Amino acid sequence: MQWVDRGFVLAARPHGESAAVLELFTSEHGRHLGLVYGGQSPKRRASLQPGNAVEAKWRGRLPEHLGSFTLELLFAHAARLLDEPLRLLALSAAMALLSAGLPECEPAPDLFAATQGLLAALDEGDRWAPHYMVWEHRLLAALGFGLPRGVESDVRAGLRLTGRILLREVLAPQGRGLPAARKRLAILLERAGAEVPAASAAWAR
Amino acid sequence: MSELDALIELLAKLPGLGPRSARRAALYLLKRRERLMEPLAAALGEAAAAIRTCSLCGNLDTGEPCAICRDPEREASAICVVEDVADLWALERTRAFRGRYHVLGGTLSALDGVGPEDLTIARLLSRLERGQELILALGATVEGQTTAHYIAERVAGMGVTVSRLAQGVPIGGELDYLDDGTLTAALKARRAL
Repeated sequence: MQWVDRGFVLAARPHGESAAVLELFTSEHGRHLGLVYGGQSPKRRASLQPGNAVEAKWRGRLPEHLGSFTLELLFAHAARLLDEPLRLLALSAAMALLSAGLPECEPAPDLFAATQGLLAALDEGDRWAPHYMVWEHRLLAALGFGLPRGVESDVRAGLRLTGRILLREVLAPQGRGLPAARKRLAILLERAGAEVPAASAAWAR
Repeated sequence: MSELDALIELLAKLPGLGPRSARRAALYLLKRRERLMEPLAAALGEAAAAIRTCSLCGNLDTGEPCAICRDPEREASAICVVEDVADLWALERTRAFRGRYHVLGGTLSALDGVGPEDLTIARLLSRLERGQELILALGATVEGQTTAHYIAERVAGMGVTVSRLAQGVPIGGELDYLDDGTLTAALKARRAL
């Protein structure tokens, strides 16, 4: 069987000497894994950076098999953010949380749309921090821990709240902590003080 | 397990070799016992006994500190930070850098749980002196650049100049064949002619 879907690269781990096991967050198939032949080659590795948007064709004998991906890069989000320490951390944190939190092969269309919105906000560079906080609320909602809309307008307070819930309800039961990038993002945003805009407009998106 | 099976099993663990090619390599060695196999075994034993990790920079060498750290001709004013010894060797092949190195031993990774304490960042900070240049020669990947930003932030206020390698069009590269990410980075890092 096979399917074609759009998705975001969450992680690519080396497999053997030249292949990679790729983890994608796809629009219609949720978090899905597959083998990429030659995934460790310099050319392939550029498109397998976390956050990159790809069109993926998955092939496998049975749906529960690992199968393999063939990919086409749609948009290199990661390359655009390499010079931006905070936005790069936000991208890493979002992809690490999706990788750790989402169940396999369960579509989450609302969260996929929210992730598209977050990556667009990170690319634009303007008011991305409130969008990141709202995205974490949407991640929690997709995992069944929805909070009242607009519960926090202060980004730092909002991240403290979502961080606590993500840790307690999603990550700790798996024996994991908050990803290092997420922890560091929260610390740096706390340090940024008044420069972080309020989240009220981001809730509307 | 026979000696031959043990040899094949060990050879098959080398990069690029599987069980089949390991059998061929074992046979090749056995046919050239005096010319290749015995000198190779001796060289492996000597290398295993003599080569150490430099306590200053993390390079591999027989001396302690390593030849690069001991070399008085090397500029002490510049330290180039690399992820791995293979990267250090790649830079040495260019003969374009005459400073010293620091091998981090990896990059920060949110997914694999690699934090600053797992790398040699503390040792790097203890080596730095005011007025030095720190060149962050880390990969143009999310993890490489996250590590570079982290180090840049840690050394802020220490009186150290921080730079990093340029990213863009490779020598001999044609734009048509470049991936979007490299082209984006090249456009962002364009400079006046």
